[in-house]
Amino acid sequence: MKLQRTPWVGVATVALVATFAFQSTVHAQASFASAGDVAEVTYAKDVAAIIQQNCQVCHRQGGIGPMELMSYEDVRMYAPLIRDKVSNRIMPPYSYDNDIGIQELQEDWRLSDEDINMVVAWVDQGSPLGDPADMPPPADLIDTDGWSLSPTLGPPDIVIPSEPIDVPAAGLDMWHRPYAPTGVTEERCIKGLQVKPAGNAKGVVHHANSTFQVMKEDGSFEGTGDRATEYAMGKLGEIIPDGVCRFIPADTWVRWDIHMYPGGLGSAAADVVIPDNVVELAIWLHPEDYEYEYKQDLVSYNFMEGQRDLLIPPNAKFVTQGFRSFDHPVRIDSFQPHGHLRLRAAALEIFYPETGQNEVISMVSNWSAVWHHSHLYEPDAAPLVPTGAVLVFKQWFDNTSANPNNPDPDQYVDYGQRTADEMSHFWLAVTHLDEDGYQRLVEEREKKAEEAGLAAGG
Amino acid sequence: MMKVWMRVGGVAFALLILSPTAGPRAIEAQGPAGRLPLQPGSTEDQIVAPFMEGWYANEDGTYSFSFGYLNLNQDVVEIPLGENNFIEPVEFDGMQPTTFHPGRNRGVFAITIPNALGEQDFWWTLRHANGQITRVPGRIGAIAYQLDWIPRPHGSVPPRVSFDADGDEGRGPPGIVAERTVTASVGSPVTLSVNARDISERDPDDFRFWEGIPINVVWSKHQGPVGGEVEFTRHESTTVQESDDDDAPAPNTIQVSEGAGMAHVYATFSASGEYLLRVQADIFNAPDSGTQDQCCWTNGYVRVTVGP
Repeated sequence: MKLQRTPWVGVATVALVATFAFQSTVHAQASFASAGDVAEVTYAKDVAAIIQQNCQVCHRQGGIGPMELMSYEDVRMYAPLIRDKVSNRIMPPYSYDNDIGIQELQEDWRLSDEDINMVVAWVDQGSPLGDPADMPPPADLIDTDGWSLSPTLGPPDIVIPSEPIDVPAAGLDMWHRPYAPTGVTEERCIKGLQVKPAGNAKGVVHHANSTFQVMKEDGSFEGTGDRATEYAMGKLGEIIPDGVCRFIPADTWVRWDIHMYPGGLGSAAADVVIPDNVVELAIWLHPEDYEYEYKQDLVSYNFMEGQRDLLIPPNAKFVTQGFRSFDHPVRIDSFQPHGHLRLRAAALEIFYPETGQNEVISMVSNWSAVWHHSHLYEPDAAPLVPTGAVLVFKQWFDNTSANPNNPDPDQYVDYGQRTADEMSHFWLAVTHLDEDGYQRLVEEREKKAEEAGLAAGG
Repeated sequence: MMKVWMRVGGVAFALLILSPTAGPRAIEAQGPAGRLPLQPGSTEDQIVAPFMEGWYANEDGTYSFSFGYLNLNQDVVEIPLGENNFIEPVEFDGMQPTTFHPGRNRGVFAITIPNALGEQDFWWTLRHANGQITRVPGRIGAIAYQLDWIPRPHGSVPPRVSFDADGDEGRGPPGIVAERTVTASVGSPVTLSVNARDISERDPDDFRFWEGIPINVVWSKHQGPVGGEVEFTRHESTTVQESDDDDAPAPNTIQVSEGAGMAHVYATFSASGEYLLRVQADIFNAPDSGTQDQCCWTNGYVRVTVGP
């Protein structure tokens, strides 16, 4: 198993630490070391760096974590809880199965087994401080209201705010659909996108979708436009791979579609009136002379058209399965399941009709409505899908009392926009290749694999 | 530029898994007797699933539950009030539909309970011809199911509905029941009228409101004798824009423009008996309103006594 530890800057996100309160304990996906398995472990020498790199972005003053984890004293106070959450992979909140499918992800928040072992051993050994001289320097954290992709992409080129709106402390879900100009005068290619609700609204903005639309002379807008990006609670953002283009058309406006859930979810839930909430869309652009070969888009792939027939009886479980294929080869650049309070797990598979084989690409077996991660595949690992292969989308729903997120297991649940209703779809960023490009990418990967094998003495 | 055509796969299906459950077990989760887990369901004799859409905490301290349903059949299903269609406690029984139109129909009626009963469940139970029972509770507490009367982000609120010029107005799913009972004869059209007005306050600079948001008024049979059909025909006061036949509104649908007005329709009954007709006035053309949003519409009900 290969686990990619990302630098801490990759973890600097809009992270909601709500799962401390929101999620149930899950089955640990691996067994971790106990005190006897690891030599003496100290906070200063072994654990502080792990906490700095993976926890402090949220667990600090002004962060969204329910407690601060900035000092040894802070961390020691919560050591047993940290041990439980870390060893069960509930924290950091990035549910993506470690033992199946593609493991090479960008902006991957998961701890390595080694780090988990270290934390577990430290707690089991009594959480000693050790020699203060071994402490690493304080982490250089970005501002709590900053753009999480900035350490990777620099400052955004464009920031497009929605209109301010007061969000009630409780009540019916709301949908706010204002327009805002982008200020872009020429068609450009997008390098990255991030959507960010106001600080105290991160727990109430369920989704904030954005679409590019062109204004007509009379002040109305043409057509339905092209999707800019999708945001759902806890999502970091999108990074578009090199060599492809996600377009932002010239002279466009953004049509916002902001779904708010007054009161909110998880420990970041506000439960108070949030005045003047503004959601912002940041866009990083490629240079004007950027060259690309293929087009990428972000599309919602539903389990059925209109998601009809999504009907979950009371006190029951339910599975949806949808299929899509393309008449040209594609590369899947990211994978993001979407659902609401009854969704518990999701998987992306590829079925190859010519061989009858089925391949699991990604699996999330402890999904949370608070963390809509878009799992960004590393460019060399992003699945290449030949023409005619079938993408299979599977989602598991639990409308029983065993689901801790379930607001009422005695109710029927069907497709709907409210948080209490359900959805069943995947957001996929797809690069649309041609046969030549597909073959070239396949050969490049085979060559790299061969070279890696030779380098390893194979 | 390369062509980017996507082909949509031909099939998709949902699989119901029976679950071990805690708490009161719902019979409806088990599926028809004798059906295997992977066996496709019949296209006939499907259930009607009742829905609690949500609950309101009213300004006067009472609570209201909004109920709707999903009829999985392609045809209308009729379940008379009584042992196969009832609400418990019995004092809240009676406003639920007996005529179930195909598809999802949200918030077709509501019950209002006193504050003192806020801890209690109010079950709506349907027993089907195939033996299945479907039921849901009206239940207060879950934030996810809370409804409210707060204006939506672009100002939308449920239109106000009344049956008399100076009479009371209804709002939302609880709506209003006409005081006067209409009398009619089998086969003879009777005129039904309702007044609807949109009191939403909107941004006049927003292009979406320049031409106003029309109020859609839709009539349907809510209760009545089994087999008693109601045919709605257009009233001469209803203007319909020229369009292809497929796009023309059904005769039971009237659009009230300019924010307020009367909507008239003719109703003709095929059988004698006691009917309760429902009229829904909605502003679903507004950007912050829609059936799935649980806002903004209002129910009105008219009792009709039909003689031979």
